[in-house]
Amino acid sequence: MGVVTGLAAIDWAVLGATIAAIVGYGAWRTVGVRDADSYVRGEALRWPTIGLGIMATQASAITFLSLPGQAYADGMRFVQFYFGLPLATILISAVFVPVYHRLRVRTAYEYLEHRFDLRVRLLGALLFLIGRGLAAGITIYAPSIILSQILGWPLHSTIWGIGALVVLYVLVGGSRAVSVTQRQQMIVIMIGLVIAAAIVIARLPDQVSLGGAVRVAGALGRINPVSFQLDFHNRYNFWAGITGGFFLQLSYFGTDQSQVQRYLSGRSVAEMRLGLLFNGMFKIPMQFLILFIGVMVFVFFLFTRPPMHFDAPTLARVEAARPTEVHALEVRFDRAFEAQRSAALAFLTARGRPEEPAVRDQLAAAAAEIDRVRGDAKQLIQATLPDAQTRDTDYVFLTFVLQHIPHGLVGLLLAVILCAAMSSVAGELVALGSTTVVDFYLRLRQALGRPPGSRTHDLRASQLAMVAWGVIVLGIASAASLFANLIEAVNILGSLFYGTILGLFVVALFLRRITATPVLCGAIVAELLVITLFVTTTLGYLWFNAIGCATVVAVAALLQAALPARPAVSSAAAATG
Amino acid sequence: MTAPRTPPDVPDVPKAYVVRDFPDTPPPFWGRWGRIYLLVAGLLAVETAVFWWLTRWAS
Repeated sequence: MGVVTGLAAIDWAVLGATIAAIVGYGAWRTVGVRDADSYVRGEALRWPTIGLGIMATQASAITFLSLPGQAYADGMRFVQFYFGLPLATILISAVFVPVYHRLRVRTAYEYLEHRFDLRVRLLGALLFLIGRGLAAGITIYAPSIILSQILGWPLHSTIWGIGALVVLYVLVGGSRAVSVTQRQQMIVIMIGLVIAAAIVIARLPDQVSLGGAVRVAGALGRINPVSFQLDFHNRYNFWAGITGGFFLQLSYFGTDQSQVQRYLSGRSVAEMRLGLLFNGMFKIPMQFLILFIGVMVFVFFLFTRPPMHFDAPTLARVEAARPTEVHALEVRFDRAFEAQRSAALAFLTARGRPEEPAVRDQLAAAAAEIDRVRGDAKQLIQATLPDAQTRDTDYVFLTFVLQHIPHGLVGLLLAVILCAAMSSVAGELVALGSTTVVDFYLRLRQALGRPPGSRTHDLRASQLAMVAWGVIVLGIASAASLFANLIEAVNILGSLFYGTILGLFVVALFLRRITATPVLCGAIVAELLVITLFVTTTLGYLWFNAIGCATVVAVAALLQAALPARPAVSSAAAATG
Repeated sequence: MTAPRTPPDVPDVPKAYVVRDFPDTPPPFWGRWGRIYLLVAGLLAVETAVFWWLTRWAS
């Protein structure tokens, strides 16, 4: 089995052929789109395509780069973050989907006008555009910075290269092109994941069985997919996942147009529901598999010497400045690694014997020494390069792929990462463009009394909006180095807006006595409160989702109670009346 | 044809305001999809149980 440290010709061939085939297929299948409605809505899709599209939109490249590294460093507990997802998809299938389908809305925010009025619709759409536009920029920047660091690709060329490919097929086929390509991309991603799992297990030493690998990972605290301990300081436990995760996923899948658009293109309510529930059933196993691959990479590196610091380019810069100190650390790391390897092998043979507890302690002590050396290396990096990132877990999986996977498959796994980047960015771009055209351009034309545009005019407006958002998102990506921690930045940006948007929909669907003006005031108060809390306090950002939603509901309910009562009628009845 | 419905809290409203349908109202939660919802929730329970067993077995 060949060991590689860069891309060979066959890797480039596999990578290029996979990406070109998917982009070409998406453009070919959707070249006949001729009107704005099918461009932004997509057309009559079956549930497998919807389900795979939903998964592909959520799974960005950073998922495949960061999650294995997170499992390497912290174990599998992150999987609990998704425990609320199946319950959220049940509620959305039962409540949101029939309403959206019956009203034949093209965006989620169109529903807000049906239920309230145009002002609420525009506010919901605006909050989505701001939050999602910023987050999409970071979604494309995050994998680009890692790929450019490790592979030596120019950063801005990587960003604009990925972006140009996405804009190309989104421009041609709109929402339908996104759905069609996401199905192919998700298939490539699944195949790549299974191959990666098989290879990492096959690369373990002969004396390490799969059961033994799990045991030794468990002894070092990496097999921890569930904890029922209620701890408010621990972000990932069963209770946090089932409650906080539920609200987060409810907001994301129920009100974020990048996800709503995926199932709005369903052929019927049944297809839409099945697509959503497919995601509810298979998301957790998929995340488990990605984390499990990370744990197996961890076990692999117990027996094969890993880099002392996985962000090799940064360490090389430090070594150039302070070679003696880096060398001393490498010598310490060599000794610690050998001690850990011996302890891990001893643990595997001592299993079930009286000496097992003592050997387990030796293994834990050896692992702690490894952590100490790595901590000292990070301190040295910080002291030498104050602006450099010391977090290296995002580089773990890519390092394994480039150094320990045979030629050809390296290209396939890089295709997986690029497919994930493209699928999530495409879903976001088409949602941003659709919302701009449907909720602002077409609706405001109507409000101003302008005659409807021709089919070609509306289609061109939709395509122009997609391209404009492509340029904006890539511009944000080019400036994204301003954010210190990318994943956290995406989550913070989402949390600043998700709570308020969810509050609008909660009031719309469940508090039917509340009318437009109270909910509009509630949303404005909630958003101002969330931004004030973000600027003036150190409150954990996940709380913003709950605070935003609860504030909209509470303020709207109070204002409604203060208003004089009047008959409640549906918009349909009012229209016929 | 079923009789037109009126909002329960508005017993006597003008004819023009009689509500024949609530197009933006969610349907009842438990319909024939209830069994599929139970399947999804049941799978979550099974996954949680398996993860709990795995956590205990490996530690």
